[in-house]
Amino acid sequence: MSAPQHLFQQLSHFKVSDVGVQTHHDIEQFYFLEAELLDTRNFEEWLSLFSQDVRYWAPVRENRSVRDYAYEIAPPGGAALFDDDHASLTQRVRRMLSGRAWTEVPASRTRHLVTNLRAFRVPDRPQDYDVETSICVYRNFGEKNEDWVIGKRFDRISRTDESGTFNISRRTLVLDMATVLPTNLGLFY
Amino acid sequence: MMDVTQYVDAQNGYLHGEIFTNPEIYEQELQQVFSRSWVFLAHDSMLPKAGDFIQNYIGEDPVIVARQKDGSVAAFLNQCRHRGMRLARVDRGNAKSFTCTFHGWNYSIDGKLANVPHGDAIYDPKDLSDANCRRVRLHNYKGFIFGTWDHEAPDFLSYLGDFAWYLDAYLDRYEGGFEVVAFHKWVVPGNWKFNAEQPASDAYHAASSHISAIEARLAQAPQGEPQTKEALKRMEMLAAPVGNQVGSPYGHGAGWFTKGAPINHPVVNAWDESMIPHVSARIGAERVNLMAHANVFPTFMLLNNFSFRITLPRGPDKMEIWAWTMVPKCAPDEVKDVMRREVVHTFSPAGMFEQDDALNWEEEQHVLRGAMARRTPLIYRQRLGQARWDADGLPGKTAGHVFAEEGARMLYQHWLDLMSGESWDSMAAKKQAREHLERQRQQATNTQGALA
Repeated sequence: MSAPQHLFQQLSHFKVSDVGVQTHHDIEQFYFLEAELLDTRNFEEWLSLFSQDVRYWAPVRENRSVRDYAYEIAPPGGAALFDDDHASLTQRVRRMLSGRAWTEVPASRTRHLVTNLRAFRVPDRPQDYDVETSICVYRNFGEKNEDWVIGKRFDRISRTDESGTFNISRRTLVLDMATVLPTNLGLFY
Repeated sequence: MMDVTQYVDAQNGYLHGEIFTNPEIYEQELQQVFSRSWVFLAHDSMLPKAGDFIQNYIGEDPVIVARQKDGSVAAFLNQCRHRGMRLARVDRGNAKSFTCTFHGWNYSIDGKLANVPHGDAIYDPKDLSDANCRRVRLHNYKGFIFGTWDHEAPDFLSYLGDFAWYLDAYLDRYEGGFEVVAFHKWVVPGNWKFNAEQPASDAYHAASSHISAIEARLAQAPQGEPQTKEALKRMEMLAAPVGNQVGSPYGHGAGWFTKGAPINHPVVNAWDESMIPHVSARIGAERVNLMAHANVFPTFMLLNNFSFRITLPRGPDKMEIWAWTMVPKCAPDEVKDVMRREVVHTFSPAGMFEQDDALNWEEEQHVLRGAMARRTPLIYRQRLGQARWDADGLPGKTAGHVFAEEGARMLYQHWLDLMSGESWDSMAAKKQAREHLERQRQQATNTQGALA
C-alpha cells in the first residue's frame, strides 16, 4: 500500500484544463452565477444547484510535521467544518432565511470571488467534470466588522442539459486555515 | 495586586463589565486563576502510543502533553530553557525527543534536558543542573487528564467535591468511556468568562438565541416522524422547562433537563434509549437523565451532545475555543458517525447553534468598550436565595430550576476568591463558612415551615 498523500500533493492536480474553451466558459459562467446567487441572498436558488445526493464537505486542517504532512488535512469521517448532505444544507438555508438567525440580522454584505478555475473530464462519464477553483469570500457585517475566508474547492459537477446548466454532486472545500479565525463560518462557500 | 471586589457582588447577584475588559484584571487572571486552577489538557485516547504528544495551553502558557514509555503521561511548559523559544510547533505528533530549532537544545519526552550542542566545551555542568522544562502537576480522571502549575492547589477530587457526582453521570455513562473522533479550534472576540458561565449556568438563552436553528430542524422533518417528535419535545423543554442547576464552591456548574437531554437526532436518540438499562446499571436510575451542560472551573466544558471543550483566554477581549468530539467507545460506528456530524451541524464554527453564541459574546464585548457600560451593573439574580444544599437527594447546592444563575454566582464567587490571591487553605475556610451559614439559614427556614 502506498503512503497516504496530502490532497494538494496528489499528481492528478498538476495538469491544465482539458475541457475545451466553450466548456470551460460554460463552467466558469456557472460558478459566477452561483456566486451571484449567494451574494444576493438567493439561498434557495443556490441550493437548487446541488444534486439530492450531494456531499458538501470541508475537512479541518492542522499543523503537522513534515513527516506527517499527509495528515495536515483530516480524512473523510474525521474532523470537519462542514460535513453536510442535502438535508442538512436545507436546514442551513432555512435558518438563514428565517429572519431570526441573529448572525445574519442585519444581513451581512458578502462577495464571493471565484478564480483559478481548472476543469477536467471524468473518464466514462461524458456529462461530468471535476472542477478546481480558488475562492475568496469577503464578509462585511454590522457597523464595521469584516472577515474573509480563502480556500480551494474541488467539485464534481454534471451537465444537466444542453443549455449549459450544471448541478454539483460533490464539493470538497479546503479552507486555508487551521484555527478558524472568523467569528463563525456562517456563510456558504 | 488589584482589588477586584468592587466589581463583583456574587452574593447579591451583580457584576460590573469591567471584569470582562480591564487588561490589568486579565493579567491578574493569568496569574491567579489560570496558574492556580486545574485545567483539562488531554484525553487518554489522544495519546495512544509512547511518544505521542499534543500541544495545549494553560492560560496563555503553551504546554506539551506526552505519553511516556512507561505508559504514564507527562506535561511541561513548551519553552526551551535557553532563550525561551517554543519547542514543539506542531499541534500533535509522535516524538522521540524535542529539539529546539533555535540552538539545538534537546529534551527527552518528559521535558528533561538531554543534550546541548557543544555542551562540554561551553558550559560548566552546574550551569545546566537545573535546566529541565517546567513540569505540570497532573491528575488522570477517568481518562481525562487535568493539570495545574500549583502544587498547593487541592488534589483534583477535593477540587471537584460534590460536583464529581454530576460529572460522573456523564463520564461514567458508558462502558469503555469516550474516544476522540474530531476537533475544532476557533477564535471568538469575547472574554473567556462569557463562555465559561454558559454551560455552568445558562440554559435560559437557548429559546431566544437559538430559535432559528431549533425551528430549521423542526420545520424540516415531516410530521409524525421521530425527528419531529424529538424537536417538539425540545421546544417544549424550553417553553415549560423541567430541570435543575448545580453550583459548586470551586466555581463549577451544570444544568440539565430532567426529562432527558435534548438530543434530537433520531439515530442518536434511539441508540441512547436502547442504552438506558446499561446506563442505569452503571450510574443509577436517578442519574440517567443527568447528562448536563457543565463547566469544570475555569473552562473545561461538556455539552450534552458529546462536545468536550476548553476555552483559552487570549487577552481581555478574545478567547479561543478548542472542542473535541468524544463519542462513547461502545456505540456502533454508524451512531458514532452521526454524533460526529451532529456536532459539525450544531456546535462548531459553522454549527447552526454555535454561531448565535459567538454573536452574543462579540456584541457584549463591543458594548463594554463604553465607560458607562462597564459600570452599569449586570443582573445575575435569577432564583437568588432559592438554592438548597443536599435537596431532593442531590448532593451540593442546587437551584431547583434549570433556568437559574446560581452556577454563575458561584463561579464568580470562586473567581473573586482566587483573584484575591489568598491561599487555598484560607479560601477553603471562607467557602466552608459560607456553606455553613447557608445551611443554617436553610435549616431555620425548614423549621419555620414545619412550625407554620
